[in-house]
Amino acid sequence: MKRRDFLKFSGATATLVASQGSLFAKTDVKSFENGKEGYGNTTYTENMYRNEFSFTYGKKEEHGFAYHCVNCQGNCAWEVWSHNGVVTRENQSARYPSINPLIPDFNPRGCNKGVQHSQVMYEKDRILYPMERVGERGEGKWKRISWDEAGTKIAEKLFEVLTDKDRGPDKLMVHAGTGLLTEGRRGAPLRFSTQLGAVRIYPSSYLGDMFSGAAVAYGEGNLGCTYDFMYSVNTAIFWGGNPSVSRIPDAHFVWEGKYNGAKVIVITPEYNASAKSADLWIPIKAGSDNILAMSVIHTILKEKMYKPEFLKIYTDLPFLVDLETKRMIRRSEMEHAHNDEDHHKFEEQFYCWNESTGNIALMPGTESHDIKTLRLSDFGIKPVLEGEWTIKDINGKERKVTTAFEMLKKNAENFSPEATQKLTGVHPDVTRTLARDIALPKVVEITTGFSLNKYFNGILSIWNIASIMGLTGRMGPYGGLNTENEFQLSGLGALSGFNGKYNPRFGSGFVGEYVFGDGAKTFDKYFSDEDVKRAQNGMSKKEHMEIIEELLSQGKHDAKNMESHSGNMSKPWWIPDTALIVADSRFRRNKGSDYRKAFMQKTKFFAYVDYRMSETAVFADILLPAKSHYEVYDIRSSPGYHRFTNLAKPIANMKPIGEAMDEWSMFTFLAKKLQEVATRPENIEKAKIPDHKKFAKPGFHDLTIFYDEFTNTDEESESAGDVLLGTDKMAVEAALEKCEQYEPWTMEKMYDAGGFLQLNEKAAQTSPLYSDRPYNSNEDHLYKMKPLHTISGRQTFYVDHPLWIRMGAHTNTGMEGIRPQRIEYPFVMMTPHARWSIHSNYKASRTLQRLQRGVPYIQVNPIVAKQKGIADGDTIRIYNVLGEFYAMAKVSSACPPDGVVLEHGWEPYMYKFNKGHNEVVPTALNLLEMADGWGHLKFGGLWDGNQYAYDGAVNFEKAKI
Amino acid sequence: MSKRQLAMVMDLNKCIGCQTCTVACKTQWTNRNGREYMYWNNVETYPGKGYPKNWMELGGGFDASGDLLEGVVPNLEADYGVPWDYNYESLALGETMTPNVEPTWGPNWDEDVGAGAFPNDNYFFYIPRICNHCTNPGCLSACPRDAIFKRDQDGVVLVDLDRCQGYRFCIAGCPYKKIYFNPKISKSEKCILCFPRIEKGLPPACAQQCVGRIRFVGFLDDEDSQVHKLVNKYKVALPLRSDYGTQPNVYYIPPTEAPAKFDAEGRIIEGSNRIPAEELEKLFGKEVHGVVKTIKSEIEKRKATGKSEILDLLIAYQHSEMFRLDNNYYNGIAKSKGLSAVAPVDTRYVKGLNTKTVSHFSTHANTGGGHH
Repeated sequence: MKRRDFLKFSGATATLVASQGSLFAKTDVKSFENGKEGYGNTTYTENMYRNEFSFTYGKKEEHGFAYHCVNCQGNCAWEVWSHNGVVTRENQSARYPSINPLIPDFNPRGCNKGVQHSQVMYEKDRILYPMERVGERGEGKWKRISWDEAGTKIAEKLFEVLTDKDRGPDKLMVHAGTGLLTEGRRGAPLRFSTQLGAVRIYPSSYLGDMFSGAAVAYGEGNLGCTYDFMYSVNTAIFWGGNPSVSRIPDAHFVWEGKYNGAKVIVITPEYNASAKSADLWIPIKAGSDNILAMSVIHTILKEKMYKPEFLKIYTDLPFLVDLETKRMIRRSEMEHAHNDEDHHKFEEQFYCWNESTGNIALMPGTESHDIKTLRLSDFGIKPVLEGEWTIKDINGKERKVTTAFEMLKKNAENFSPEATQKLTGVHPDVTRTLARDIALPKVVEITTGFSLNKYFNGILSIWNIASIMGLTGRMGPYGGLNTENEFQLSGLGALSGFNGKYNPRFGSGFVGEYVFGDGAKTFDKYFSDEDVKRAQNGMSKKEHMEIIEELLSQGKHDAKNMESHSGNMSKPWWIPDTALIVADSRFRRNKGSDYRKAFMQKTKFFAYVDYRMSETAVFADILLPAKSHYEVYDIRSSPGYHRFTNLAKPIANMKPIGEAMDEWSMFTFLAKKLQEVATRPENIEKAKIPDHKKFAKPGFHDLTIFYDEFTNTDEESESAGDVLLGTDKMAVEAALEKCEQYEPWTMEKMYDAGGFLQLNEKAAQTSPLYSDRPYNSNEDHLYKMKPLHTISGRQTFYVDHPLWIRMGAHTNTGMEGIRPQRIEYPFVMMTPHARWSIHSNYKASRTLQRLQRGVPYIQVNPIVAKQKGIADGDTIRIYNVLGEFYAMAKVSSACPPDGVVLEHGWEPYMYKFNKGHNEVVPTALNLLEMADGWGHLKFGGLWDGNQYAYDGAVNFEKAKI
Repeated sequence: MSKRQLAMVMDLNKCIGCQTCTVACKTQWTNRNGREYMYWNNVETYPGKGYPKNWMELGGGFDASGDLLEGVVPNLEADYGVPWDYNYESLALGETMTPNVEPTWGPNWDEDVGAGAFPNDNYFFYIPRICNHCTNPGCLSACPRDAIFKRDQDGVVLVDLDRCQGYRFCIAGCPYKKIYFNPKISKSEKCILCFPRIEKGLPPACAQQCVGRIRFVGFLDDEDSQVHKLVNKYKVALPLRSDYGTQPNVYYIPPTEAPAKFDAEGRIIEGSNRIPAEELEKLFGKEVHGVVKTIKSEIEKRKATGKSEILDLLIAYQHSEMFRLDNNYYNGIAKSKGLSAVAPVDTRYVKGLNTKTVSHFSTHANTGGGHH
């Protein structure tokens, strides 16, 4: 065969080649017989590539270290390569030490997003200079201004709102979003916010990432394991989770664990990158997780696979409950207290039926009991799990009582695998297999994915799964629930706090955004009476809305909590009119089409800090340019997927990018400007801002010494010897000095080690942090019999908050979602965490978009697509009564026929007509999460609630545009 | 034949399709200078059209008698996909972010699409692909200029950029379509197995930076190397499409792990595998059935006894132990060419046939790195 025949071109290339024929002239004739051996002209090519490598690698001693402090929680050590002060690329440090030769190590931690920050940091969407809006909001007319002008303008706005008698701190928001999750830099905006008494809200709540169901069960939402624990489990379950996509740095432990003998089970509505290698994939109907979990509970109870001796000691299941009121019997009902304080304590002490005495026994180890152990044998208590008795209370009234365990059995009765099959789509045989795989092996870890919280009744999903783990006695070495472990880090309050002099004005995340964005309007417009009844135990929409309104009124400006003497009672919220916001693409993430409009209407002044033009940045009044991850000093440990703390240290001689500033330098500068404004002669009189003592111990915030206090150079701080603050580097040094879990490391040692330190044993939270074993929560509870931080001191199966009883959720139950089930909108829209972005971070990356489809795309099932005449690559319109958006159809065998799947995080400006996918997503508040003021369920970082994302029902069609 | 052959093994059970390898390669080599559209490393979802589109149908390679087969040069728009760009500078102006070219195809277009009926037997898995650095390269045989060569020291296949004239016969000749035309310099370019990194003690970017820890790199004649053990000793790693006749030096642990299928009622079909055996055979040859059996029985053995040397290898306890780059060997070659030996920039991966003990630096796995 002749070579000319052999060469063929596909399509357009053929023409291209023909027209370039003249380029093919040989310039230099050399001949080599056999390129497979002894080729004589290797050096030219080799040296070219060697030089190219040398250029990107630069000088080793000029390399920096970094991690990407966005909300992926990966926290990976990267070595940043550079050439002449310019970052060229990044390469994992991959130097984490192995803790045990028989357990895989944590190298080379990283992912597809982190590996290309070097490309994004020099992109044309960088915010380079302070900018001021000169047109309408969002119109895109800007004027470049100096830092001095920007600082003065912002300081004047802050001073104006704070000194206005009708406004004050209630009307100011200073908030840092999750584009900046780190222990160093994040401290700056938080410190600034706290010092001013400004409002901020809990990110995990408004993101729908709060583990409220775990908080109910354990009094702690963040628990679980370092990911190397996955290597040695017998069963690893990812319930609503997809580690190969959204836990990329750690996923290898799962698959190495499978090689080591683990059975891996993935429970997700769609087939995904984790399901593809699992032993069992359970294609559950979207949002029915809490119901499937109830069927697992049903099976465990029926087949007696629970561990009764464990339940008696480590759970509240033996606690006595009044059969009629469904309330637990309290000591205050059985015994007179001598004083108010005791009476209050008696309200939160409980009984069991004691087999040893044939009578009731007060349970030690509860939160208000003086005895802080669960060692019941010391007190001659042998709790009974099953039975009904009649007891006489303090008033001589006969009360029929039973155990929480009996109540659980009763609730579980309706959830046989056969009864739930239609709702879950899971065959009863599969449900029973699942129950046995959880109950019978030695070590079982269930990881709950972040998608579970994004359904209206997601709280029940996680609570029920936690209860499965409780019934089967899983804690510490035997496995348990894995939400997201956090290690203990002490002393970091020195950066963001003031030793209690000022305290943050925390608002509820999900409620804050609901109120700010006129969520009630969206709710009313979207959900029917029937929807609410289905999802709230038969309660009508009217009553639901009335109760919500009442609960919201209690939370306004923290009113009810301020009056309370027994902790928080409601979800506080404020509606600020002046906002200084950092790294928070709120117009991307909030639901419904009304949020942005409402925010704009309510917000008189809005300054925004970020390194890139997010959707939110586009609408700001003033933009401030921040440095990005490779340009700063920083430090991060959280969360506890591993035991290492990473360092960020810029490359040598870093060439500045525009006029970007690190957050500490920036907020120190703003503090200086604010102090300047406050000390102007015409202002100095009003510069002490009165505030409630809850937020400002002295009763005021003194703006005349604002900069001094911010940097700890005021008299009080200096005499207390507080650490000096003012730049990112100083913050890292302060963190290393103050946090005892970082001992004995220094920045230099971290650099030498490869950009990290290893936390010492003091980082242990509820289990010891062994030097040679993976970590898993609650070993202290199991072996040392230390109470949990729950009202019962034990794992919670019983919540007798009146609203919970009303919802039938006094103990575990299952409830359908609130998503409308109308024939016109038969598809659930799932928007899981993304492989290709961390929320909106990196979504706009050219490098990453080229590995996707370049525009927003949404998975649709092949059969459904065919019915609708939609081909792969077609633009489709996805719509419901709330709105519409357009995306490219990706016809995929992995997509269920009753749903569409769209990785979330796309900025609205990436869609046609700038209409983001949240246009079709409603918002709602669940009464279970709105309930407050009960036991350990009191508003705070542990107990807030979730903004839901999966409650929209949609339809779609081929677009006519 | 080159004197020695460097090889890579990729474990498809552990591949999570994250494409960290793809991006690591891109920032190391192909984000510039006419290479923008190239993916020296890509990861494709199988079943799917792959990258470039339908590469398995585009010819090249050799027939049974060793003659080169006809081949097609893929088209940029239709088969590779145009590397579109965006109007980043206009985002501040409130404009819609829009690709400058309408995307119609790209290197990962078929991501997670797969085939089969949801949920009973649909399936997919990932195949990462680099140049196979074949022992009998189709590209090399196709080049009319004889401007493609294998390095004697490690068998890395390179285009002689001094002599290449951009005829593109190599592209047609490579059955894997892993050699590309650079329109800017009018020459062909391809994966170079990161030889400049290897010579300095760093594994290839796609391998060292692989967070799924699926890639092993070493010399096939180094009996201590994982590649030798997996390919030659245990014979569980197989080349992709060996029927093309090019004798590839990249090997794969075939995807043995996938969830069971469901019957029409939604019951688990015990012992079933979603991945059709005939598909595996098409990719990896008849030997694949034996390999699937071996891996399955090793997993059972491990469950029963806690032991399996094959699984020990695949688990890869220490990341640094996945690579054996034989630094003394490379330094010896440098010296023989009259160049001075260069100390490696990283000392963790340097062990090998000729690098058993290293006198002037430690080879302990965790002490590489810092000058400070």
